[in-house]
Amino acid sequence: MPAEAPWSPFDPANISNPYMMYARLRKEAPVHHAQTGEFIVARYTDVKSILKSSDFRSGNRLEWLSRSIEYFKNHDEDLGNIYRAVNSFILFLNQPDHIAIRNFVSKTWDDRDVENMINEVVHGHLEHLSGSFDAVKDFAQPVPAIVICRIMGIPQEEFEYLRALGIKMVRSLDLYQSWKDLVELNETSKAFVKYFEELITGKKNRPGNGLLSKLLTANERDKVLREEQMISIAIFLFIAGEETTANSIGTALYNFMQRPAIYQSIRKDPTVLQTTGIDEFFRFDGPVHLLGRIAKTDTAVAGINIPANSPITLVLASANRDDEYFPNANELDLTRSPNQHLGFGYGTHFCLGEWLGKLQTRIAIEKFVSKFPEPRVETQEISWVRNLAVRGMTSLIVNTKK
Amino acid sequence: MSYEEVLNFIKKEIADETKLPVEKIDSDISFHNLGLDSLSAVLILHNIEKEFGVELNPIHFWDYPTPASFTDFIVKEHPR
Repeated sequence: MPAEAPWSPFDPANISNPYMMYARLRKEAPVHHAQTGEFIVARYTDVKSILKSSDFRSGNRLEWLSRSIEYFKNHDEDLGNIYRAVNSFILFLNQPDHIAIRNFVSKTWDDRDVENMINEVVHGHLEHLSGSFDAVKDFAQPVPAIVICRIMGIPQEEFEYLRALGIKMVRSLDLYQSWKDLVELNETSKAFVKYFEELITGKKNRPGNGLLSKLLTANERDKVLREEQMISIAIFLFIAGEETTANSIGTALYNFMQRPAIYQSIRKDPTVLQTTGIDEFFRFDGPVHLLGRIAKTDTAVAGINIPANSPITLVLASANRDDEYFPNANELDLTRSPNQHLGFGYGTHFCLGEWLGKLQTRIAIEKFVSKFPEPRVETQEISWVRNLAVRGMTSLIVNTKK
Repeated sequence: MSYEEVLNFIKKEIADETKLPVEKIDSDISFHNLGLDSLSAVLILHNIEKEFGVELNPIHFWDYPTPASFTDFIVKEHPR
């Protein structure tokens, strides 16, 4: 029985390649009440209609983590740091807070002219790479961490410390956490909160040019955020900025290197990335696979009744491979157009940093491809993070010798 | 660890969590119908891990969703 459960997100085969499981879900159980208690939604039209609908709220994980904290408090265990870290993660918020906070961040983030800075960071890393190296650890991971530090005005030399925390913090989005996961998340949260408390105190005394200082100054005036919200938003912007992009750069390199014809076509005409290619990568193998929602009222999706307050898992990465919507959905076609993929979500919660994620991924790929004519993947077995919510590789050894 | 040992431990944990008397806990009723949720699952899994020195993934609790089938899974996965 368990082997046949259509929803087996921890099966090692599905960790390395979840797309077969997604295909089966779309075919056999497009909306189903999984053994884990939540409804899993796999088809493009259903996922999109839920993202558009006001009958569903966000904050699935925040609600669960809050209940965990409450529950374990009754067992004399304090996980309160988790709440201090994640309380205002923008993807968890609902109206009216969501729109107020999102607009505030969006309008304060006025300096979007970051292309030169990204070029410089990417170049700075690539110039030291040759022969065999780890394209994830030496390239895909540090680049977005440094970029988001520069944007936010975080001292750049601290990026490694924060990145190590970021890898753990993004696991707050994972489904089905164990006690060990929660304890680790609590420790990570504590370190992150402490870091940003101190940084924010420093910036209040001595504002700089970065986004964090701008948010603090604007908040002095507009009073949109309380102190603990500011800290949580700072953590969110940091991890949303670097974790997802680290995964997208690594996974994109992997996909392109595994398909030499595509790799060479990018070398010949890199402009294909900017016009359609990067969007196609985010459709085909973007890092955010799962998003949570909760039904506000009794409702039905594709004929399946969903009672009020049911948690729902939207499988974005499955929607993006839905043949009913995308012709030859399992084919990576860099010229695909139109391409209304859901890799960055859809509707009011559409990713705030979509432009930055796409820009960085494009520049990283363009420069990598232009430097290395025929790189080969040397890793025999690719190690993927052991959770599908935000998916990426932990390491990717490549050989770039001719 | 024997099947009996694990099963009795799991039943005792469920009894603690649900306040049901342990003899009322049927080995073939689903965790869900016994009144457990994903939070009690976290605690019970943690206690099983500590008691028997095994490592369990939270989803196993729902993949093998009765005291009997979960015990079976644990004993088979961790032969001594």
